[in-house]
Amino acid sequence: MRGAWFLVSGIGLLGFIAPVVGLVFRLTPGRTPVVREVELLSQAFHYDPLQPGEAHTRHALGGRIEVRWGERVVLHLRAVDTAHGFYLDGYGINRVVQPGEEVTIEFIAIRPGKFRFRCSETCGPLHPFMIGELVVTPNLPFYSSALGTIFLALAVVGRFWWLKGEA
Amino acid sequence: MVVRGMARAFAYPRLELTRCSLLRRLVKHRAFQFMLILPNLAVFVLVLVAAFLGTPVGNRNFAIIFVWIVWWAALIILLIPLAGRIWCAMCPIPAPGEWLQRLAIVTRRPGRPFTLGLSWPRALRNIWLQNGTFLAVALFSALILTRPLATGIVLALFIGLALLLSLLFERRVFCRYVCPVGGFIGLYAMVAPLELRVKDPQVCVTHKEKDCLRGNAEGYPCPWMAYPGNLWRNIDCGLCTECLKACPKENVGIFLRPFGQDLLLARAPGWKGRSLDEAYKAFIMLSCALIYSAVYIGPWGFLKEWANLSDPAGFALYATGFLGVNLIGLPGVFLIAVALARWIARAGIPLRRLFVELAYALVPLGLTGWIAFTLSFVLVNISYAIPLLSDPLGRGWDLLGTASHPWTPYIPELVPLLQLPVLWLGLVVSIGLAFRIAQQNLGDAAKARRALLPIASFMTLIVLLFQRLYLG
Ligand code: SF4
Ligand code: SF4
Ligand SMILES: [Cu+2]
Repeated sequence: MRGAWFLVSGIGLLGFIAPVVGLVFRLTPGRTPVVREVELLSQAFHYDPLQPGEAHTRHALGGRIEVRWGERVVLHLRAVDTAHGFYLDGYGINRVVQPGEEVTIEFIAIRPGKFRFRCSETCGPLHPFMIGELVVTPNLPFYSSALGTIFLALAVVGRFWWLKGEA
Repeated sequence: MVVRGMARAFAYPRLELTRCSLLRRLVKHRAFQFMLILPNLAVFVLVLVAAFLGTPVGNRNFAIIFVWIVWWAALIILLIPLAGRIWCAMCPIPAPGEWLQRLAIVTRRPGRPFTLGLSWPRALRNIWLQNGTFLAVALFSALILTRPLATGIVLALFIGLALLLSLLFERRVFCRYVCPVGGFIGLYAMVAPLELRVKDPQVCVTHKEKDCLRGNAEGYPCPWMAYPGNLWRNIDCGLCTECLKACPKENVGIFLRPFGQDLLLARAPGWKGRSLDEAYKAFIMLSCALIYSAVYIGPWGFLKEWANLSDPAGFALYATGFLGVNLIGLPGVFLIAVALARWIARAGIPLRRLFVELAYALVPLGLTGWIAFTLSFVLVNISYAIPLLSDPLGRGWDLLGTASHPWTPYIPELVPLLQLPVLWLGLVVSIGLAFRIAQQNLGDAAKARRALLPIASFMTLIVLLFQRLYLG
């Protein structure tokens, strides 16, 4: 029973180490990257990623872009109402787009996980909360840490079940 | 195993900090609390000036950035987890009312206080009102957090209400029963490793005069309407240090102790025990941390627009959802978990009782949830504060030469690595606490172990939800 407890706790801790590896080290797959083009509309206070040919809807259900790890991402950024910015966490990219112009942003998705992009040009009251998400799949930090959470909970509950005498 | 917190008072190790004579002299000094309040009052005045006269652009206004980022982060990440209600000791909001009541700022003025001195209605001697005021403010948070004028009006209302209540009622009823901030500070203060308590409750029992209750030449009667001899939990004490000054037996001290002891307490003299109002505070805070993580940090534009009152129908939907999750949704799911726990543990205790008791196990998780949420914006946006030091009103000044410092997010991509351990700490502590509370209520460890399964599952689910929002 002691062994089971240590095993479960160990897996729980691994759940934390995995996202550390994922988020801290830049890992680029060796092959020539596939190019992923995304049209990204910005409007107070959200981003709308459009599929090619898709019409612009007023309410974005979610400003979320999903690409695969290692892809070359080409964003065509436009502003609908007023000037907006685009700051991408973890890449240091920071651009501003004026209404009527198109700014092209290119980068390689070097790390799996979720990275937020934020408006960097004051655009109104909720400007600091104008946030979109770039999810680079497979989202290893999320899956491994979720597994970590489950095993951690098992380890704590297991402490009361398996280590009765020693508790 | 002896169930802790039932038998004798202070069944945990305590280190008396006020044994240090320098600290004791400091806190016994009449000007101690005033010196804590003064710098905060100065900043507060600047906040009000900026709120009413400064730029309406939130992230360029001192009021917004210093209240909702600097003060908020300091409160939730440092002050509450480490020192509990310490903010209540230095808060400028009730100060004008209290000074007017006393007709004194520092000194102990003898005689009648300047107030009608009504006593607070019995039915309101709980934190239900604070649950309500918190929800009211929280519902309009998108306005308050982003518009300097809205922040100014809310803070001015707090001051005005505190002043009015101090003229009508005795002591600091605003802090104890009305203030929306005081409610959750009190709840989470129970986690802190710092407490103001009597050294030996037996001394109080035999001390007939009870100077702490009546006040004496050294100190005012407890402004929080506590009786130190029966003070067991940080939620009930505002750390004003009046009793420390008044007690002629030197029986009051400030202690370091293990985290979270107040949450283990099941019964104590003069305390009615765990109650539904505080349980609801725990639900509301946990729900809000989740909802805010989705609304403010999430990618959903429509949620932000609804919360921002951009269209009335959307806001009505948002308000319904917000209040629904806070008052029915999350407590409802928890109730199901408790019902399951009661069933698989074959417990005889009434469901309502067990529901209230186990809700206290959510307190550490709620606090870590708030810390995690705060981490998601504080490092990203704290740099807005730098230009404001030079240009607090957003009027183009450059007092210190920092006015053009650009917005600079600090390690935004690594924030999840800070949030994960915080959430996990909350999960581990909350599950452990749930086991102890189950044991107190069900009597034996075998039943508590079984009852733990659905409760721990609920807590795990909550952490997974946070994780989905932050990393997923
Ligand atoms: S004055 Fe001191 S000893 Fe007397 S009841 Fe109050 S805290 Fe206890
Ligand atoms: S118990 Fe003592 S320190 Fe706490 S609020 Fe009352 S008088 Fe102040
Ligand atoms: Cu913006």
